[in-house]
Amino acid sequence: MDVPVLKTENLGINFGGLQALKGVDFELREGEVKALIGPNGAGKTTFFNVICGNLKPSAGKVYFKGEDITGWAPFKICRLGLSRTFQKTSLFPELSVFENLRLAAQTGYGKRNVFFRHAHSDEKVIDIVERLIESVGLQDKARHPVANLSHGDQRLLEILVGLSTNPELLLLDEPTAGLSVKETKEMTERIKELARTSIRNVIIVEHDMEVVTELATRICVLYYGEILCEGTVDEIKSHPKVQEVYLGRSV
Amino acid sequence: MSLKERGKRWILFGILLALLIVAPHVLDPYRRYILTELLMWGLFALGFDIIFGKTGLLNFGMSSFFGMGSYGFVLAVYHLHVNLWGGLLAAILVSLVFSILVGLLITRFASHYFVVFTIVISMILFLLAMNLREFTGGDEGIIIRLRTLPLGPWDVSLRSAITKYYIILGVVGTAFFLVLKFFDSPLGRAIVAVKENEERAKMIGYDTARLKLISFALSGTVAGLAGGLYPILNNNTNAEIFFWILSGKAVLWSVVGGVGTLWGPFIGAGILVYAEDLLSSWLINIYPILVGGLLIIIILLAPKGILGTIQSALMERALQKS
Repeated sequence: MDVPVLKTENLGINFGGLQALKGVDFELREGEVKALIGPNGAGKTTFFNVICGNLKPSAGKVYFKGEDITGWAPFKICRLGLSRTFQKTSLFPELSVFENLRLAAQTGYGKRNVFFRHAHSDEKVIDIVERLIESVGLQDKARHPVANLSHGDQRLLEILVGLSTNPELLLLDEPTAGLSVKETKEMTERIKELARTSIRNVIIVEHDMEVVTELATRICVLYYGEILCEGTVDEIKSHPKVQEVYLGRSV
Repeated sequence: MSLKERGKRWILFGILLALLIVAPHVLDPYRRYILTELLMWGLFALGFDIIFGKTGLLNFGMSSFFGMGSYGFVLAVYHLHVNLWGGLLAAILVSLVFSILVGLLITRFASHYFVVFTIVISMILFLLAMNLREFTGGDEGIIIRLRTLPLGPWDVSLRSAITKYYIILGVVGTAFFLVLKFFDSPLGRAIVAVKENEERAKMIGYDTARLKLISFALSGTVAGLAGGLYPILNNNTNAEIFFWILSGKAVLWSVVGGVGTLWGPFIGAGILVYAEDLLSSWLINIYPILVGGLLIIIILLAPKGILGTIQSALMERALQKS
């Protein structure tokens, strides 16, 4: 039986009178990298917040690996294997790069409730963190507090922290936000590499169509809280409704 | 932290302990008393540092836990006739249960409500203790006399001040050692993640409500254990120890010494308890103003406190070298 990694049914949420999401039926199959695009305020980040348990939906269901996770606490959803990153970098600023990753890896690979042994004595966790740091070439900065890092490195670390919890599905919320053209290219390459080696299932929210084209196998367009259409990159690019939304209505 | 640095820290711990073991034989009785008191106050302020410095929750009612531990000790000795160990066990149990109950109620509140509730709880306890005189002895307190301490096959006399000093050093040293170890462990480190960024901590799989409760209970128990030392040193406890000024002192000592460093509270308590004793005999009227001035200087120039500032400078240097 082929259970989708993530599935939402008729998902909806209201903020006062505003319907931020309406009847969203979304599905992500095993091995898919799907992009979620749409104009500002379309509900992309809200969609992530509902899936991860930050917001409780007013209607509908969320299934992860076939399990109904609607309304679960975020930490439980994370422990089940669903991890996310933030559009606005959200790290532990006073702690070192190493410790940021170690804290995340400790929930994904280690024993987070141990209180009688030194945190660094868990070799599995340390090994995973060291390999991650090496894979992106941050060895020199491993002991620096995150607050001292450049914006680009912080964006990269944001993804690595999300990966360190050992997820089966990773939600990336605008990983290239605030990056220069050159940095965006590098970041795209890195994500591509990670999607090849470390994580099979990814949903990515992104504005930059070049990044989307480069990374995603399928695209889903969100417009005022509703799914407008879904398809392969080429299908979406030539879709009349999408052109209307993005380029404006022809007079 | 590398293995080498970890080793260095334990060497420092060892040297300090050696000095403290020799100290009572070198100091005159009065200074010895001050040093004993200082160890107790340092442990109390450590309780505050756990909840504020490590977890980010401002508990302005630390006197509640000190008082509960203190009365736990005295009432167990007075009514149940337990020995010193039984008294300390009572101090730990009473403050642990009390802090879990309070923690369950208030760790879910947003920060400003949390602060207000901690103050309110300590004020209620103060008023109750002052008025339930039959139970607490009010401001006169309850006097206890512990004559001997069973230690293995021996009964050690508690009349000597040096013996009391060693008992208190042993309790404070053990508790401090365990707290240091705890914050090196996976669970202890996760508590720091809550302080740094609670939202993200949730998203990487931490039950932050539970972590806050654990920290609150640990903090309250450490302060309660310090409260249990108070009657050992002074042969009594009284309702005044619930007063908010004691809570304020825990804040003051930690801020001066270095919030979140765990060693800082001892340094802050050391400097201020000694300074208060030194200065207040001839500057009694302006002493509070001096302390206020010191606090302003620390907050403006070295908000990380004495030890925090030194640690940052050392770390900066180490990072530049590498």
